[in-house]
Amino acid sequence: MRSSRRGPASLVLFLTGTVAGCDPGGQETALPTQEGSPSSFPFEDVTASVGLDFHQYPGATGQYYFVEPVGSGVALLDFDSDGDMDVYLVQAGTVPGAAEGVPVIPLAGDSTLGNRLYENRLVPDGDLSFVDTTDRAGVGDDGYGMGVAVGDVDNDGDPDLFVTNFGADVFYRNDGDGRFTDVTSLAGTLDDRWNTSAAFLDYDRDGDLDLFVATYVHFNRSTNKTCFTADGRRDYCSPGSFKPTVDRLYRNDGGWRFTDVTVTAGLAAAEGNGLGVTVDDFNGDGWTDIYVANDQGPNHLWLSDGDGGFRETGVMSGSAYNATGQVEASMGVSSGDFDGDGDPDLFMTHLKGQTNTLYRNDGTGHFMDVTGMLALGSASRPHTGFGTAWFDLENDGDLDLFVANGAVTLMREQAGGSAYPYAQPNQLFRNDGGGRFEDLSGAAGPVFEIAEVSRGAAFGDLDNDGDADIVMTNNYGPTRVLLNRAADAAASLSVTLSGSASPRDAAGAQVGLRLADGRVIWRRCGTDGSYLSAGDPRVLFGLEGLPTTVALEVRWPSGRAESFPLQVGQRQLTVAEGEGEPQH
Amino acid sequence: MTVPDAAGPYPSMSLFRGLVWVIAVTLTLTACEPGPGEDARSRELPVAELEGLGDTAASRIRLAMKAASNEPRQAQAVGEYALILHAYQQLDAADPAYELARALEEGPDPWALYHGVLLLDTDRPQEALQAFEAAQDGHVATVYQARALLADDRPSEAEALLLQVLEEAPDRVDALLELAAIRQQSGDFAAAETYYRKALDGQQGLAEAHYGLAQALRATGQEAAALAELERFESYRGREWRSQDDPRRAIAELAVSERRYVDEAKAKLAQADFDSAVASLEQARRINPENLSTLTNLIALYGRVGRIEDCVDAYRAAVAIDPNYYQAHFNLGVVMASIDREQEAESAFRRAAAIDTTRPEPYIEYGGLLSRHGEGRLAAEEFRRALDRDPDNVRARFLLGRQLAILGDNQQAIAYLKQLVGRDDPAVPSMLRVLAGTYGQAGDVESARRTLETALADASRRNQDSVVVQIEGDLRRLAVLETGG
Repeated sequence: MRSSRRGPASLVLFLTGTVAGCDPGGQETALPTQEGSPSSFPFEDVTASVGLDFHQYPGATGQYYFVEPVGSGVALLDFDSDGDMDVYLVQAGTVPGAAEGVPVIPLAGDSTLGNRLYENRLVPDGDLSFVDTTDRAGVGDDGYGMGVAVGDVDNDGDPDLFVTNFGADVFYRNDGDGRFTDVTSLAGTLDDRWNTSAAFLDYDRDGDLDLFVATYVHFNRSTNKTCFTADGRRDYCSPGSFKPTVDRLYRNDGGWRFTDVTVTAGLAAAEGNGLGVTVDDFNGDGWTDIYVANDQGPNHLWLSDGDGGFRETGVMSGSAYNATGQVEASMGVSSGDFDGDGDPDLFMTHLKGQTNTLYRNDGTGHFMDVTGMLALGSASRPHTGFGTAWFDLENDGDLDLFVANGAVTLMREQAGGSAYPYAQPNQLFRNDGGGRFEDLSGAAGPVFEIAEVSRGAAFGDLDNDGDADIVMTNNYGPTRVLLNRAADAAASLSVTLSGSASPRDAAGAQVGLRLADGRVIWRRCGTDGSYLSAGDPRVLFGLEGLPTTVALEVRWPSGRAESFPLQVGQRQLTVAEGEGEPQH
Repeated sequence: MTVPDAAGPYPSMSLFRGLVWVIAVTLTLTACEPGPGEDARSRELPVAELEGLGDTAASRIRLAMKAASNEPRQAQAVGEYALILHAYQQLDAADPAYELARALEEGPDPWALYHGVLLLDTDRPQEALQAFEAAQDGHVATVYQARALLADDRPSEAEALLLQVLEEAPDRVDALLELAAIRQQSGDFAAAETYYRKALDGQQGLAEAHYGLAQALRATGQEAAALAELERFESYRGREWRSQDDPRRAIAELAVSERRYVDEAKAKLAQADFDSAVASLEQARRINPENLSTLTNLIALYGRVGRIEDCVDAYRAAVAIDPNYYQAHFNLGVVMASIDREQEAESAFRRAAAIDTTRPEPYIEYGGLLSRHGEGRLAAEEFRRALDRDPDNVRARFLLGRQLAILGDNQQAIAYLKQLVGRDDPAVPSMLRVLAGTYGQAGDVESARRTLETALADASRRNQDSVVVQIEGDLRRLAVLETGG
């Protein structure tokens, strides 16, 4: 499966003493990995060989129901706690209550409706492969699926699932034995509105995960509208054709009971067309904030007041509109410290004709659109972006970007020859470390030559080789598994966190890797962001070409700050809250 | 160059260009070698995929394509075709159409700016830059060059160009905005603030500038001022501003719905604002030159505002599209009659009547003209023809009766006019005054009085106060006559 081709000049891969001198440290957890060698392209599509045979099906029948092009998400989670990332895929299906009609594209022959859970057999088999374990796990919800959020809601050490639907959402409790139980009614999160992305966060710092759910628009089959392109062709409407709505915040009261605190927390103060969500401490006050990417509406930055409430500061923070004060059609969003200054910046994906936009944080929760100056603007204009994330492509210590693209309005050049003329190629942008991004897409191989209608994307280390891989969904297309080859030979550190006063999975923890030269590389533990999807909760640090690592600093969601010593060559590490050196 | 403005259609240099072309062909033939546009002339015209397009878009594209297909091929027509394609987002066809138009141009290149916009919008900043460099549109082209450089991630070069523009035109708002954004992203908030403020000095209500200024102020710790700017931004948000010479204006304007202008014209007509109604219909005509309804309304309105040559031009355009379009002939007849051009009026009415033999109006209108010209008997004949076609036509009946009365044929007149009594038409009370007068003229004062009383009751029922006053006056005069006063 692995190639031995050498990398291009733009992706200089390092074979350094870090690997040769690897000496597992005392706290290292030895997990099976697939060691490999550099490939000539940064990603390899291994879908066909790993048994993950899922086709997304939006059920279009020519009625142009607004829900059809939105797509579905994907989650990476270690549901069986065996040390590798399994994959949960959300399926759309037939639009509830839709008029009878001939499918524009029939359901692929071997496809089924309903969500699917694929168990990663890396552990114990040693090879990356997936087995469909949906039926045994009991997570095959057959609602018209949208997104998925992952978090250890009951602090029992395994990840639970929250699935958003166009229709009633579903909450699955992981029972710890490979099975899940639908606890939606018990949880009190039954909501049949059109919810999209969701994220877990401990907004009240009480040690358990609360739930934020983004809601798109007021829409049902009967309010579907007839829309046309500028030149008069029938096409999907834009969200402007429908009323925006209020997102929801549920407080975890323990015992699988949640209370809707949307109004009391102040979140009813603004409506939007929410598609993407990321939760992070944007103003550095130690409390988790919420950023919502709204489709053709001002984005919302809900800053925590530290007392259970939130204040919408999107406009004032400079992150609601782009540099020219224009509303953009925000879809996916990711927060990450791309410039290494210790605060989370925001990148979000947008509609064709707009740029994807990078908002740089000045450390106080104030943002500046710096897209143009960082060479990220023009390359994104021809595409409509969805799933995205900051991740370290080559494990060189800075964050790069992947963007899953796919149009939402008809691509004229495909209109005559395709039953689903919305395909676009995906993109990869490399952070040059000097404040600019290089579009690698044109030279990044077959993965970036295929045009599909991509939507959800989840990022994580599928093969436990210390770099970020991608699982991506495509409307009317196969889910793709893209293995990172750019960082195969590069050193990295994978950190698993375990909270005590904080949520058990430590979602929201800020993790800093202190280097010998005094610099600290900050990453966040969390599964949120991208688009309708959930990623690997483990924190990955690329170490290639960096000075020696000195210590790991963790700011736990509880407010506790600790430091953990690091040993030379350490590649994997688990740290527990309360076991480190306290910091102030 | 002449910017193809929305009021177009586009560079008004067609004749000049045609001459240039003829001269060029002559020279080419003499020299027996291809001229600059020779290869281009033999190039195939790009064809847009019209299937599934809306009616207006498809018809406008077809029309422009037809004009562009004419031999000899003219840069102007091909350029206009490219613009229409561009306006309706048929970019794959618009791009080669622009290329062809530009290749055909042998003088200044009026299409480069528009082509550049298309190239910029399709993520080809380097090609766009070349096009903008070729454009001879002054500062707007230079600002677009800067935008292409920005899109090509060359902010320093863009900044240099913008500064050059501002040296020559310090108040150029588009350049100020671009420069402010560049400075802002560079972290030079003081300079950004200055440029945004200058832009606002030059153009009130610029949402983009208020927003950018707010960001600059906030970044420099001026929170209160930033908040005030954000409030201004919110109040102007959604209003798009473009400089007058921005090519995107013309492109956008082309795609504006014809219906919008027709509705505008109707509203203006309702306010009796005829000049504005004409202007709106002219816009609609530019969007869809083949809309006969627009053309015929223009015929009438041009006549109403005294633009007779334009009226004739619109008429010719209409009958060129459909020689048997009744309303065009009729409207022209009305206009010609209103300015007493009897022959042209007669000709137009006759054509209208021949096209739709059931319609009484051409006879009524022509009869009216004859009557005004003292041709009473001929007028009566026309009114009679009208009545033959529509015996229930109140106006034809009244005009015939009145004409007969004028001719002294009171009995015939009364016979026609009597049949107006009881008709449900608001004009009837006034018409009955004529019947009463005819009775009076015939010496039948009693019938005259009764007719006036009927008319008075009818006018009162219809709340026609001024008619009531007139009829009451008639009755008083009649009473005087009856008493021999």
